[in-house]
Amino acid sequence: MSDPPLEDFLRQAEGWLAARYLAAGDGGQRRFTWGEGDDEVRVFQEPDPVAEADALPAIRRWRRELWDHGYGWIDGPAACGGAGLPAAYARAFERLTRRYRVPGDAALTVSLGMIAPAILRHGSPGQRRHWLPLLYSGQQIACQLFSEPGAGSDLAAVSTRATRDGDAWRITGQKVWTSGAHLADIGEIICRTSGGPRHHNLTAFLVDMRAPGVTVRPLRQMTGGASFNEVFLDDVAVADACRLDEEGRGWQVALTTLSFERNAMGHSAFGGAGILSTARLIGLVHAAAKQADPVTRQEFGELISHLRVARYTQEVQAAQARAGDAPGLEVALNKIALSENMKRLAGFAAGVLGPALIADTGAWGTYAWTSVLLGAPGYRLGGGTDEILKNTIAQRVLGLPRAT
Amino acid sequence: MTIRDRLALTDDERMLQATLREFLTARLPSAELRSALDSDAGYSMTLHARLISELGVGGLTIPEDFGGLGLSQAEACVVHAELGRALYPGPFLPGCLAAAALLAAGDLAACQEWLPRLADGSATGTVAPAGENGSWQAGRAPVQAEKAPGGWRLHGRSWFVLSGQAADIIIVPAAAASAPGMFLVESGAPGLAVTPMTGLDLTRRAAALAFDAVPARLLGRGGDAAGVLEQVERHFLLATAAEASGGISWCLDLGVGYARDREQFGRPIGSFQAVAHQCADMLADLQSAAAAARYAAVASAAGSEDAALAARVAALRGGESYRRVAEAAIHLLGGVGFTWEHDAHLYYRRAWSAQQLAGGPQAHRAAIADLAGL
Repeated sequence: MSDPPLEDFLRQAEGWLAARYLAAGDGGQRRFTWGEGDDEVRVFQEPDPVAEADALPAIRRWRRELWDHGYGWIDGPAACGGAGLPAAYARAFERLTRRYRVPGDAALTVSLGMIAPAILRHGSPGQRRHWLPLLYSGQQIACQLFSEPGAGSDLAAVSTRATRDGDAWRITGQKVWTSGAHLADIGEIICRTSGGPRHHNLTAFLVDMRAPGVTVRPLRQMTGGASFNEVFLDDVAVADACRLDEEGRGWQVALTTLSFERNAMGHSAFGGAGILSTARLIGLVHAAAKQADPVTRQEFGELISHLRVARYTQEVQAAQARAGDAPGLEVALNKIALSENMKRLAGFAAGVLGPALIADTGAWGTYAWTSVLLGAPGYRLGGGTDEILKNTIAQRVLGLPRAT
Repeated sequence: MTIRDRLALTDDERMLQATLREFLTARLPSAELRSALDSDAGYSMTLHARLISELGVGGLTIPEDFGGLGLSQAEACVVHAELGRALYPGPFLPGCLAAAALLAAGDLAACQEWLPRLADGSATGTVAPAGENGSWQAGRAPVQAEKAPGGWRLHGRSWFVLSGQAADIIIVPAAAASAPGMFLVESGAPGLAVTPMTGLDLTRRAAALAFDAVPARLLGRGGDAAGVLEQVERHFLLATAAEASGGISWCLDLGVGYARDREQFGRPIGSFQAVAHQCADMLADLQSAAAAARYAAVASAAGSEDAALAARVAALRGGESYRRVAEAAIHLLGGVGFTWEHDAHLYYRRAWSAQQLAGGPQAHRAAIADLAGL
């Protein structure tokens, strides 16, 4: 059966959205006006836990509605419950949703942007049919259980152990820097399962986050908020049916998931309209009455050039991907560019604001920029440090030899 | 067609790229480049003629009505990138700028007379908009035009004229009593003195021109020199950005190849993290410079409203990246990279020179602030 023409698909989709959700009213462009609304420029999502929990049912209902009407996984294979349409349809639908006041998928970046694609690539046919509809319909939310106190950059050194126990496994250990663990129903976890050689001694599982023995504690980071968690696992039972890929293939599953993570980070909303909006930066300069200052104009021009180039790079890569020439591991460079741009942004705000950056005068849009300077160091760490990413690129993109 | 639909290279563009790469690799190896640089002209006229006639790139952006191929900035920048990668020393870029100036000035007779000759390579052209401080401002043109019996006469001096010695025609903005206009001067015109400038970039020569009552032809009805210059400058910025991406790709290939092969302390230097990270940084520079050059070229071709901003961004970031990468390549090569014999310094010279000729980073930053609405 051939695909419906894209225009027909979009016309139907638009009718469906319009019948259920209010139009955003401004063509989907959130227009920024200096001094109006919230002046937060957080670079890590640090929602109030109560508000976050309150928002969750609406997000689940939104996914459920999408799923029930064939929009939940537009470009997913039909055999796994997807609609089986080309990726262009999914992108077009996503653009369309921005014109409506929908709950959106921001809280599901890990679940749908990282874990679901990893299950699609590494899961058995049965696992794909079981888990992917649950994730895309919002009935289940997934988190990623990788880093440990003793395994950061050296992720392959994880020491959380899974030991076979008949048809099940018993998992004991500690994970850290887990986003959304407190909301998640399942976690993709990498465990050590043998004393075998490095990279061959790991296995991936999907663990029930509500199983006995799982403890989730918020982790307060240097910004003052808590975007992440620590997860303790004490003799947690996991059925062998929840093992992802073969025993000993955990490292491959981890690499797949991380590649989706870097992709998601490089493409995060941060590079788009939010806090990097030119209008906000212009507003900042005007608020400090520095628009005629030649040094500020130079610094503004420099900053804008970096932000634009990051966007152009992503747009060119996206176009190449649509033309069947998707970039490989070098997309990790986008994440490094993003971290650098965050540092530049903090430096620019510091130059414009002076001491109003470091102590709150109460003026709108001034002290709020401390969130950027406090969050910036985290971006150089999350999803692989600059150094680890450069090693990977040097070895696997440029073909340079490993350090001996 | 939107910008997004044009960002990936088309099959035709890939073919153009591959053809040029092959042509220049075969015909302009280092030894040929070096001997061209030592010649009086600074480039091989034979090779230039073959580039124009065999590959037909002379008239790339010249409309078909005037003997060209009628292609856009997007295709032109594919060519500029390849020529930049090879440090092609012939008068290709100045010819493109002269053609852009003729077209923008909209003088049909001048277009009919000169564009077919620029397209088929039987004439070369350049533009002479810069004063001694290098800036292009029609309102403050360093050359004055005076209406005399029998036609216009130019007085003054212009500087940094690319391939000024090789050009058959020179397009000059000049201040006139009414409003600044664009003028066409033919080489060998009485009163025109062309003096080569000693320059940093050995692969791109510049000249100073002195005009002493030089007979000149006013293009069009005059009056819109600023608008014409803006279009020519846009082409210049886009070409500079594309050339930078080509030069960066050469430097990256050189540096990475050397880091793979060169052994010290009993192992390839590329296995040292400090070296490997330099190489990854060079790749980041290539990726962003190439993407920005492409985006800006496509935005201009599509007439997008952010095309002027994108061109400035591409020139600024491409220029800075080129300088950094050329310096890094020399550093990776160690002592070899600092020798006259190695070509690395030719790229280093081009990187610095091209950045300044295109206006320099301060001018780009100031223009970006203006264009972004600050």
